[in-house]
Amino acid sequence: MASTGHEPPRLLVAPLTRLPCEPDVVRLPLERAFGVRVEIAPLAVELKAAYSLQRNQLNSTTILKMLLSERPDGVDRVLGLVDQDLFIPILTYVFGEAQLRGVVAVASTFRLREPWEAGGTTRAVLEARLIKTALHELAHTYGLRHCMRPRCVMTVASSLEMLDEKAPSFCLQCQGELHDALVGLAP
Amino acid sequence: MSHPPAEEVSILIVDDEPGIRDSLTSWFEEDGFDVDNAGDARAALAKLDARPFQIVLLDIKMPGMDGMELLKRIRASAPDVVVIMITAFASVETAVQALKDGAFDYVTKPFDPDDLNRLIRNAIRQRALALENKALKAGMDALIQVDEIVGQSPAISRVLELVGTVSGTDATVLVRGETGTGKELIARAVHANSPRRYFPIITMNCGAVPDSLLESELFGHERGAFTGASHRRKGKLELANGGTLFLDEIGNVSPRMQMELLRVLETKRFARVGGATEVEVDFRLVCATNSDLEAAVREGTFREDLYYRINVFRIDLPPLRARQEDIAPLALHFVASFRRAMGKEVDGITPAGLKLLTAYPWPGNVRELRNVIERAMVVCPGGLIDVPHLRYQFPLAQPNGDANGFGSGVEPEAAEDEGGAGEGAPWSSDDSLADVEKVHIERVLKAQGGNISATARVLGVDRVTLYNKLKKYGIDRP
Ligand SMILES: [Zn+2]
Ligand SMILES: [Zn+2]
Repeated sequence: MASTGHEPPRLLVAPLTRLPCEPDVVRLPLERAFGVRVEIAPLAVELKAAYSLQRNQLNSTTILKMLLSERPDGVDRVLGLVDQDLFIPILTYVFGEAQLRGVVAVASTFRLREPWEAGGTTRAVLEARLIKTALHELAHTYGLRHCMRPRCVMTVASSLEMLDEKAPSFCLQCQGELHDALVGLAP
Repeated sequence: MSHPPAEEVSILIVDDEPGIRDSLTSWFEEDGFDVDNAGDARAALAKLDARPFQIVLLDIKMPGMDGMELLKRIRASAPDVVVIMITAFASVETAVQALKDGAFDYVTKPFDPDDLNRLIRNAIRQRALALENKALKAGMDALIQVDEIVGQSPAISRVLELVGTVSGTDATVLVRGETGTGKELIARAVHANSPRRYFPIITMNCGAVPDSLLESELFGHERGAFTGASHRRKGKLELANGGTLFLDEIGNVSPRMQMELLRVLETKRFARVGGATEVEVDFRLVCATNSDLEAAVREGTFREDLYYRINVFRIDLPPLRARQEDIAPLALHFVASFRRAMGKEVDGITPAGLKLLTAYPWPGNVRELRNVIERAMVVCPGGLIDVPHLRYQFPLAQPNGDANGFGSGVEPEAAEDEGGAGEGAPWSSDDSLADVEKVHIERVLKAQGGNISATARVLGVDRVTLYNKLKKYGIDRP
């Protein structure tokens, strides 16, 4: 009985390389947080164009531009996933990057693979980190900025330890901001 | 205290490389700063002329007037501006000269995200200290309120007064109070009002983890410290560097860890697990407990020297029943915050509902009140929360209860320990709440014949939210 007018927005999660975990782990958290329908499918982008020989890393801003031009019709947002290390010109690395108030984001599993004995098994830790990074970067596309409330997923994580400190959820304030953004976008 | 850096800090980036300008600009925009950039010294001077900036990031090597010259011009015309120099590896000597010329610090590009983060927060802290001195002299420092510390009662006013007194100092604070009174919120308020507020507040619940884990969590570990430790990992003490460390349930720490903690507090130095060299840290300590530490000291289970170390400035949090006049304002505050987060058109609470809430003894304190309001928000279709929405949310409520709807002698649900998301944490993963919501949505959806728009209207949510919830609970439309 679903009529097209009621369909939730579409979010494409696009693995751009082989990944150390199933990209499907982000599906439920993203659908819950953003009220989107997640589709998981690769996207044909030439990662070589984003590769820096000098740094042996991928330029995340270049990837964002490529995702923007390759976004399939009818898809509202794209999250690219890579297993290579990402950088922006001024920083040694980033976990991910997003277009603030835009439609594309990218996240890397490269640094998330590092084990953390105290946090449980490596696999679960990696997945938790990926979910947090995906939530964080996509929330930027809805206009959310960094938050100062302890453990909110929108706090800035400039190291793996700080990423592990966060909860995979938004504080009430950020939830409110996100909700306002989602309603503004709703058909 | 929403997003403090954004409100007050503007940053100007001066670099001739567009790639660097763009990436720094978007990094700081995400961080919530007010940020602008310029490609050369002339453009920078024009922007500095047009409006004030608090921080300038300045590339040393630029065509035309270089960064060193521009630094001198800025220092001369706007001495309050904090200038940070950006340098390539080759020009570190020049950077040192820049420090002599009044730059606050310098970074070598490309920088580590953690370094950039610390650097910028150090700069803000330095500026905040300068401004605070001015504000203090002018006698106009207002207390930054943390959400959910709501109320006008003499008891809570006294607590806020104490928070105001101790925040500006670096003194160790001990917060005492029953479960659910909001001890973590007080720790956050102390942090949010201190010059350390631009650095993180790191929480450790000492009652929730076994000893061996507590040690690794607090102190971090070196590569190879145990199987699987393939990298060095910073512990909470290091993460709190520059900021505040909040040790919850300090009364539950084992004798061995008490000794370790005492040593760190005395020396502000420690070694990571499996490490030989010591690390120096600078943090403010806030501890909390709901146990009788004095009795523990008498019984010999809590070290007396540690007790004196942490009991420097004490804040006693009254139970909610001792500040009855705060119950209604608190309840309405929770309605307002859940209303926005849930996107639900609930406007308040009826007088009868407020009367019911005020009469309840709240053994689980503010946290219990918060949970009750959250549940009531779920079942209330919109408008005002009334007695029927509240009655079933009380853990003490019994079908044949007394006149005010409360039974007696039943264990309160909120007597849970203070683990999990933490006391007063701004989110909840409450399963029973989810159950309430799921059943309620299913019922309404069925009653509306599976019509999404109608169901959303009855529930008082928009369609996006409803889709969200259907997915979350795996509810199929009939
Ligand atoms: Zn937040
Ligand atoms: Zn971010």
